[in-house]
Parts: sequence; C-alpha cells; structure tokens
Amino acid sequence: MILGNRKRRKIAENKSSRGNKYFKDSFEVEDLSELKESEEETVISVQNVTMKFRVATQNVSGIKEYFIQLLKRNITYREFNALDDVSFDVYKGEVVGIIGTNGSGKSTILKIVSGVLRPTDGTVKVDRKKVQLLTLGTGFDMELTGRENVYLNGAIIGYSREFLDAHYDEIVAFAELEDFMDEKVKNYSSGMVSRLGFAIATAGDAAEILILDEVLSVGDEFFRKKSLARVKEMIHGGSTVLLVSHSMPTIKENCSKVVWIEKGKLRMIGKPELVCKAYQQMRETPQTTSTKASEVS
Amino acid sequence: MEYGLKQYIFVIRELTSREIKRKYSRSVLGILWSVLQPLLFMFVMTAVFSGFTLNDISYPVYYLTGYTTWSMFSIATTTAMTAYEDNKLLFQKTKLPREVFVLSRDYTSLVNLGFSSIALLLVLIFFKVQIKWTVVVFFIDVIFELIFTIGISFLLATIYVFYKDIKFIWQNIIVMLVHMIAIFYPIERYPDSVREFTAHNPLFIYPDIARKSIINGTCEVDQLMAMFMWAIGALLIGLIIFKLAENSIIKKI
Amino acid sequence: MERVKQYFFVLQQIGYKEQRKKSSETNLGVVWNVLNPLLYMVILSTYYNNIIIHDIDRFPVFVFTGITIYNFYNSATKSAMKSLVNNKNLLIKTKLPIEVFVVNSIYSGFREFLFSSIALIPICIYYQVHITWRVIFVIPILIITASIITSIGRILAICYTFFGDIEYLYSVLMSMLVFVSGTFLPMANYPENIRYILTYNPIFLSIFLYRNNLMYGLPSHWSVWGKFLGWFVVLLVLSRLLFDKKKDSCVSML
Repeated sequence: MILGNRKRRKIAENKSSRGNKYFKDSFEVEDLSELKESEEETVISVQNVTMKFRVATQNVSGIKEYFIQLLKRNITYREFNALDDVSFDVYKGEVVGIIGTNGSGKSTILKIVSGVLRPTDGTVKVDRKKVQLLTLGTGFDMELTGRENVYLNGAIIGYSREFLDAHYDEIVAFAELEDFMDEKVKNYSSGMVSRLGFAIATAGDAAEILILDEVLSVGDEFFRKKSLARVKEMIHGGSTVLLVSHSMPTIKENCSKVVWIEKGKLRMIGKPELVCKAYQQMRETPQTTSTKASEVS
Repeated sequence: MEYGLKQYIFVIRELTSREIKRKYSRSVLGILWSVLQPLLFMFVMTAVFSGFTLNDISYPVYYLTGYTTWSMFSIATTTAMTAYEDNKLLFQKTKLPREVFVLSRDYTSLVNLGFSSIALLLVLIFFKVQIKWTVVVFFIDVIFELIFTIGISFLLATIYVFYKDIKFIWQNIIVMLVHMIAIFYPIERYPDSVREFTAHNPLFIYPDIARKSIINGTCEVDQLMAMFMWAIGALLIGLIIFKLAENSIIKKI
Repeated sequence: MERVKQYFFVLQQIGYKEQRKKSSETNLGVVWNVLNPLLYMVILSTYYNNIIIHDIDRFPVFVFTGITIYNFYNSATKSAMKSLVNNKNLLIKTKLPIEVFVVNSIYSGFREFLFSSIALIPICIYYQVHITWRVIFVIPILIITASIITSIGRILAICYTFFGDIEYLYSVLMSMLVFVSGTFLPMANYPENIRYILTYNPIFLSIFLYRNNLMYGLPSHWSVWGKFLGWFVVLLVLSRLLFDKKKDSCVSML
C-alpha cells in the first residue's frame, strides 16, 4: 500500500513532535522508539553463542522405560542446536525486541543472558548482577501474603534484606496495594499480581538491564500505561531493555532495534518496521529459504 | 439414567481399567514390577531376619504370604482415600453412584494382589510347600479381607474430604502397623504383653489365615468367625458413615 | 561476605515459604516431628523386645537414635529430590546457583532432626545414659552426615527432572533400608556376609557412629570412620560432577 504524500508528511510531523515531547519533562510519550542512543556503550554482548543439547530420540518418561529401551538398543541421541552461532550487541539505553517463532530459542537466549544457562560455545558479556528478568509467571507463592512474597522474590532475584527494607514502601506504592499486602496472594486479581511482580523487579535503581518476557502485552490498560511509564523512567535513568514478545504492535511501538532469531539462528537485526515485516512475510509464505543473517538499518 | 447392577459393574471395570492402565501403562514392565517388588523385599527380609529361626516353615514363605495379603489392604486404603477428591469433576457432574470411585481403587489393589501371587506361587513351588485342600480357605479369606478393606476405605475416603491430614496420619499408621501384625516374624515370639492384643487385630487375622491355610494346611473356626465378623462390621460402618455424610461431601467438593 | 549473607537470606526466605506451604497442608507439622520418633520408639521397642538378644540395654534409646537419623536421611533426600521441579518458576530468576533449593531442603531436614532430638534429653536422663567427652564427636558426625545427604539430594534432584518414577523407586528403596541400617535391629543378629555388606551402608555408618559417641562413649574402629569419610568424599565428588554436567539440560527441561 502506497502512502499518500499527505499521510507521509503527517507521520513525519508526528515523529518530530514526539521528539519534542520527549525533551519536555513529561513522560506521556506513547512509545519508546524515538529515543536516541545516548552512548554507544555495550551493555550486553552476545558473541557466537551456541547452545547444544543432547536429546533422546525417544520420549522416555521413566527410568523403567529407559532400561527397556536401552536393552532394545533403542536409545539414540540427537544433538539439538537450541542456538547456533548467535551474535548481537545491545547498547546502553536501547530497547531491543527479540522475536521468533515458538521453539526458536528465544527463551534459551534469555536464560543465557540472565545467567541461568551456560552456553556450549561462545560468550556473553553482561553484568549479571544488574539483570532483572520479568516473566509472566511471577513465581509468587499463592499461600504467602503480598509482603512475604516481596521478600521471597526479592531475595531470589538478588536484593539484600537491607535493600528490601529500604525500598519496601516504594514497591507497595508503585503496585498500589497498600491495603492488601497482608493478604494471601491467591486472593489477588491477576492485575494485582502483575503490578506487584513488576514493582519488585523494577525497584530502586537495581534493574539496569531489564528483560521483559511477554510482560508488556498483558494487564489492563491502567497497568500497561503504568508499566510503560516506569520502563521509560528507567531508560531515562540509563537502563537497557530486552523485550521478548509475539505481539508485533508491542515490538514496533517500543523497540529501537529488533533481533529475529529463527530456529536457533540469527535471521535478521534491524529497525522494527523492516524486521517485523520480513517476519510476517515469512509466516505467510512458508517456503522461505534464506538463512543468512542480514543487517538492515 | 437407571443404574442397574450390570451398569454398576461396567462402570467399576472401566474406572479400574483406567487406573490399571495408568499404573501399568508400560504394561509388561508394570506387571513385572508387581511380581518383582515383593520378591525383592522378601530377599532383604530373609537376610535380615534369618537370624531368628522359625519352627519348620522356611522364612521366605512365611514372610511372603503374610506380606502379600497385608499389602492388598495397605495399597487399597491409601489409594482409595483420595478417590473422591481425585475424581472431583466426575463426582459433581454425573449421576454416578459415588461408591464406584472407592470400589475401583480397591478392585485395582485386588488385581495387584493377583499379580503378586504369581511371585508367591513361585516361592511356594521353590520351597516345595505341600498344598492341601485348605488353600480354598485362602481365597475365601481374600474375599473377606476385600470386604473389610472396602469398609475401611469408605471410612477413610469420607474423612479425607473434610480433614486432609488423615492421609498423612494414615501413611504413618500403615508404616507402624506392619510391625505389629507378625508379618516379619511369628506371633509366638511376641512379648506376652502384646500377644493377646495382636491375636485379635483383624489385620493380623487375615494374613494369619492365609498363612495357616496355605502353609500349614489348617484352619481354625474361631479365626474364620472373626474374619467374617470384622468384614461385615467394617463394611456396615463404612457404608453407614458414607451415606450419612454423602450430602455434606457433595457440598464440600 | 556479602555473597554469603545474601545466600543465607535467600535460604531463609525459601525455607520460610516451604514451611508455610507444609503447614497449609497438614496442621500437625511441628508436633509430629517430635511425636514420630517417640511413637516408633515405643512400638518398636515393645514388639521387638523378645527377639533382640539382650545385650542391647536401653533398647528404647537405641531405637530413638536410629530413627531420628533415618528420618533425617529419608525426609531430607525426598524433599531435595523434588526441590528443583517444585520451584521451577523461581529457578530462572535466581542469581544464586540453583543448588540453593537443594541445600534448603537439607537445611530444613536438619532443623527437623534437631527439633525431634529435643526429646532425646529426657529419654537419656530416664534411661540413665552416661554422656562422655566423646559426645563432642557428634558435631562432625552430623556435619558429615548432612553433607552426604546433600550430595545424595543433588543426585536425586537431577535424576528426578529426567525420570519422574525415581520418586517411587526411591521410596521403595528407603523402606527397605530401614531394616538394613541398624535403625532398630542390632547388627549382631545378622548373618556374617550380610553384616559385612551392611557396614558399607552410609545410613548405618551415621547411626553407628552417632550411637557410639552419644550413647556408649566408645571409640569406633578406624575402618568405620574410613568408610564414613569415604562415602563423604565419593558422594561429594560424584554429585558435583553430575550436577555441573547436567545442570544446563536440567534447566532447559523445566
């Protein structure tokens, strides 16, 4: 579809006006894609990362079955490349989107960056202490109260007791759950749960590198606005964001750069519009054969 | 839908086959394990307790007969206890007579007994035990033990709905009980203080009848009477409690 | 130093969570910890009184010490086994090595052990057990036992993520082990060859050393210590190797 001249001019105007909006001190920005890269400082450096797993060809669910198959000589393994020679850099202050079909290795790369997995090959340079991972399943324990979960989750993700004591009120205030902190989480609505999870992960200045796994696309409008505003605030303070999502609009609206990982290989890196377009094209025409990584800017 | 007896039995068999499939889903291995596991225990127990020589019965036979009979009770009661909770959905949505859930678990345990008795048969043959006519009593004993078990299962399943702790308590009771019913060594060696008490314990009586009828070739009328009474008693109590509580169960689940 | 503090903070939080979870399932919890070994003591010492050759005096204390150690092995390893799977949504977030969940299970198992051992004091007084200076050795014995249990827990936790039915097989194994660990049956009754194999059982070794130094105040043969420490080292090395090697595939499976 060809855009008429009038429409193109309007988009250009909008872009510049949004740019102006940014330099005012209001955080009413609608999206994050107009941010300039402040410094070219590399915050995450993924270099030639390969992740190999040995997977049994048979689905063995029990030890008894394992021995039967072993006797029958049915146990063979194949090597499975969850990630194959993936490299990309993330600079300070960027909002990088990661897309790819299911099973392509998105969650694997997240686990590697956050330090839970060690890559078979290659290195990842990142200050693990500064990484905060936010997933959909917040890891709250339903039987504990909100307060107890703040400490449990906080401890798990690396905050010290002193930090939590100092920032507790701030967390509660952001989540707007002042009256509910002594209630069991199983009585919370899903919105309350996501607010609290988000508050904990973004507490204080600790989250310099924020990894959001599908989190920006959920919640009610109120939550989305609030979380987006908070992320913006953090970026303004120097944080970097890695955003994983299946939702193209979310990616296009918020990211300055998109990394497309397909079946373990790096398919494309570049501006959101282009990468997303290519991705959607591939989805519609399943016979694409191009497997070379391409830099598009 | 009218539930005649035929339908009733059909449903139980279907539920049971689902349970069995789940338990023995790699069928050959599951059945093999039902045979192997009692044998495994038997080897260990023989090694442990062979220091205490018995009259003229060889220990493995003594142990295995008692243990097989006992384990039907213990498996049936522990699995049947959660029967109502596990089948919550079916319970609420269909007009199935609720008893079938407990019954199917008990029936599964009986099937398990059937497989384990293959192991028993092997051991009997190996030790050249002479089988007399009294072996018929063994089958009768199993039936009455089943009835007793069903009664207790109903009781436990009903309690479990209201008081989840019972599962934990019962598991511990089972572990302790096994020492109190002369499975590991004969009652003659028990201290005098507890011998009377043990002899009247129904969970001693059933395995004991099994042992006497298979190994010794004897049977005592008193014991048979007790076998009968305990079974009927337990069944009555179980059913009554269940029927009384049935409505509250429906509300709770 | 910071790291250690954080480690303990996390341990404490996880422990707290697990305890709350348990107490929401059963109300007995704490009471049962103390009651269980006492009950066993009463039942086992009554029923096995006759057949135990009477050179075991103070049989109830004998049983009590055996049962508390056995319970420690049993409950700690079983909860360690499931610890990774049960906490899978926390695994990804944690900055600490995922071992911390296994360690937590052992830590709470140890606390239960200590708690149930409170009853040991009145029992020892009642049965006039003479405590000698050797009771000092109980501390290293318990520490090494805890380490052995942690190693077993690590191995089980990894295996459990791959093979679910190991839970059942392990509980069958444990119920057999009660009888061959000298928990309530003294060694003297066992035939020669069995006795020899028995001395390699780590649970037996823990119980034996524990009793010798707590109850009897007797020195133990060097071979006992040798085997005990041997298990400690071997299991530590094995579990480390297995854990490090399989950790990644484990995490990806969860």
